[in-house]
Amino acid sequence: MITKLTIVCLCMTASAMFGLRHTNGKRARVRYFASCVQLTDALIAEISFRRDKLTDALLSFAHNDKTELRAHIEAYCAAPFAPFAPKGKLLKTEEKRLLSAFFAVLGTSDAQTQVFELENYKRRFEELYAVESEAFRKTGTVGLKLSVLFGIAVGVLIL
Amino acid sequence: MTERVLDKILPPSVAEALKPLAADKLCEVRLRSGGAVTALYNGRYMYVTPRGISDSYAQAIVLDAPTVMQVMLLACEKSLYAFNDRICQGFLTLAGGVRVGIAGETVWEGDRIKTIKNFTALDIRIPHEVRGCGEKVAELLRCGHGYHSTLIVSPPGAGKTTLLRDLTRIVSSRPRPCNVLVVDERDEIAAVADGRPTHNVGRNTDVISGCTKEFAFSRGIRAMRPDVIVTDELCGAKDVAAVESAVQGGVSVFASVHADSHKRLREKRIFASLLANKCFTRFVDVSERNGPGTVEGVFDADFREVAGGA
Repeated sequence: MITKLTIVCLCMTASAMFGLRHTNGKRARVRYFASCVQLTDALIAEISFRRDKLTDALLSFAHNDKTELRAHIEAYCAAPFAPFAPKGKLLKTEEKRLLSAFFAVLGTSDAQTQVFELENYKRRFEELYAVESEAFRKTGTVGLKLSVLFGIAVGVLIL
Repeated sequence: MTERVLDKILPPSVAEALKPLAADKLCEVRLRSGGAVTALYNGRYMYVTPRGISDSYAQAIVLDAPTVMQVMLLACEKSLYAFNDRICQGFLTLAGGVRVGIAGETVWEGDRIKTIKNFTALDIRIPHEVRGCGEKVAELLRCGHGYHSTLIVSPPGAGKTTLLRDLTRIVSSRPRPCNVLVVDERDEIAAVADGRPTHNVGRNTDVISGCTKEFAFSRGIRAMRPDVIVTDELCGAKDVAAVESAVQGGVSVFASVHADSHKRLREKRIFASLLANKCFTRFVDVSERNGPGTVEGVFDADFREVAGGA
């Protein structure tokens, strides 16, 4: 009996972990695009006022960021003159292209033009953030609930 | 320092071609979009080829527009917006005093330049410290415990900034401390980087850089109490007025101007009051006759020769 109960607990834990991982993946995309919006805001403020060097401004932002954007910024700053292609599975192909274009345009024009370009990118990131956060609101925790139920069902079957 | 800067910004083919050359003879590298790369080496302009330099255009390295843009981005550390004010003035000064002259399409907004885009040519000028080149001249500029206000007169590229820099070092390093203020509008004399001059301008020298002479003179005199102010290239009525005000306030000024010789100064209207009021009591003519920095003569306020060529 104890063995069965243990197996049931392990099944529920495993399925809950799977569901949690799925939910966190969706949440990570919401947080990523939220960070992109904050990054463009930070760059607009930096370029409009202090006008520090680009890599300094980016790394200063990355220092406090807890999403995958931090890794992307660090990879870009390590080779700012090479074409940048974000790695990882978080972003879809067209989103990676958007990020590549965003980083390519940084630091290549005067302040006024740069701010204008950043505002355009900010609007696009805001759209992506809105879509992802709406999707997460509707279905983000469904996976977790389903997997918990699945784990319970397996447990009941075993019992 | 300048080698590191050049290695960082030049295209690899050009950097490799220039490596075998004697660094102290290389004064300038010109990059042109769609044109051959040239270098001013040992007093002559020559084409840069993959194997070095040559008189022949046939093997010259030719750069395209994206490469020239890349050089510009490297020089600005991928932060064009941070350097746009300097770019609009037509130049950029990098670490070590390397100066990049810029040619391209100007974009205007109303009556002011907004930016320069589509760069067509970059003229990278490499400074050289020639320690001791001002020793003989410095002796002729002494006036009691101080110095005569001095104007160095030379055509472009003849070595007046190099001479000015060495005079600054000499005056600032005298056993009896003398406060020297360098007004470095284009970061050429002291070339401050990370808060420190990259050229040797002496141990008692203060530097105000990156602003107009008018601003620096008025603030500097009030705040830093200089005995001598050193500045480069007087070229407008405001520059002249700032110098006049300083000299009349009892501060000696070392400055420079583009002209063939001191005699040509009378033809420049903006210098009329300076000459009439004898603000400068020494004139040093510099030329390239025997190489850059050839001192043709030192003259007093009445244009009488104090000493002949050095």
